[in-house]
Amino acid sequence: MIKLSRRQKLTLGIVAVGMTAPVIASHSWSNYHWKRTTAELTVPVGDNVDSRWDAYLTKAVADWNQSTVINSPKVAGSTNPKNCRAVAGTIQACNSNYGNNGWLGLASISLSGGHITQGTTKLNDTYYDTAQYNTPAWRAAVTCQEIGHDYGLGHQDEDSSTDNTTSCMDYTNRPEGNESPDAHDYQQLNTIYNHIESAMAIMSGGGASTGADVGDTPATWGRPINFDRQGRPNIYERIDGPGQKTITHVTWAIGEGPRGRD
Amino acid sequence: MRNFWVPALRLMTLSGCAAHPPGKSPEQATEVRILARSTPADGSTVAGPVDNLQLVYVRPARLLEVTVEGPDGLSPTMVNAVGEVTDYSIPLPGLTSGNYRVNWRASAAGRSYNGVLKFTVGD
Repeated sequence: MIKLSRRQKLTLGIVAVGMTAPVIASHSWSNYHWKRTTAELTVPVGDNVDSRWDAYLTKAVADWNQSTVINSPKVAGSTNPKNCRAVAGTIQACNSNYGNNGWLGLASISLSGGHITQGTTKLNDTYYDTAQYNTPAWRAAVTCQEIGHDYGLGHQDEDSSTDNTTSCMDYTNRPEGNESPDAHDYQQLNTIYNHIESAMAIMSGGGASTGADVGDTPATWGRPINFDRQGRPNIYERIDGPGQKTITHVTWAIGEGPRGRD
Repeated sequence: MRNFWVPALRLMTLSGCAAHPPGKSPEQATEVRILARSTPADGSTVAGPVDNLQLVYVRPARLLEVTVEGPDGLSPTMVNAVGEVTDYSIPLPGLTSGNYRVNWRASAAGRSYNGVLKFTVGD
């Protein structure tokens, strides 16, 4: 029989609680997220695309705005689409002939202080001008996916030979039916953006919070509900009262973990 | 640390949960066999600004993610590849002097790979 130390028992307890809780399949992008200071995230999306892409960008912005935590205006672009340099506090969407470089689309973000500070979406006309990719489904699905990444979402599935979901956050070789986010994407956004900094921001706007302060150690964060690739808890949930909970996202430094050096 | 994880992983396996133990994954061990070369090259010092990262794989691969870490912080990029190809060129925002670390993640023939390369941009 295996004899466990107190620390091992404690960890097994945490694992067991995590498994008996409702399964939450996370597809956040490494917990990257914008700092939300209002009830809804209002990061503007800069329109640097030409007429071939206008309808798809408009649709993608509208689709993501269906989320209860996102309300991004589409605004005039403020970058040169050729290099699509990022602009602080915005998502800039661009299209251009970027070349035969292996990619249809790119989503890039910059991080500072644990938060996304700017994002870009690049759509590569070198491929979209070919018959294979010049279809409404390919244009809509990739535009939707790159903007979704810029909000902090990862992929629901990365096997492009399958078509397991109706989400644009699914890699698939058959994008028909995957032109928009699905319910799971909106749920994931709720998880990503329903955490303490937003709760504090809402509270300062006149709301009330019954939650205790969130400290610097896992002891004050509640139970882990998600784990990173190294097996470290990276999302914790603390029930503060009826209908009230605090979600804490943790990005561990390399070699660090909930028990110190891992 | 290793003994510490064994009971937890055993419990998770019995319950049908997927888990990744800490430390190197088998995929990381095959890194050198799939990435043929990069520009800037691993370990090199180059003149700036650096506007592109080229990754060339020994066999077709689907590049999924590239993260550049440097003096200005962390800049992750998700890549929507055209399929499994050998050559990629990822635009970079004109990297200036400093030390940089690039993490990449790819898949090829149903298998996952990742790797790291480091380079310096000189003054």
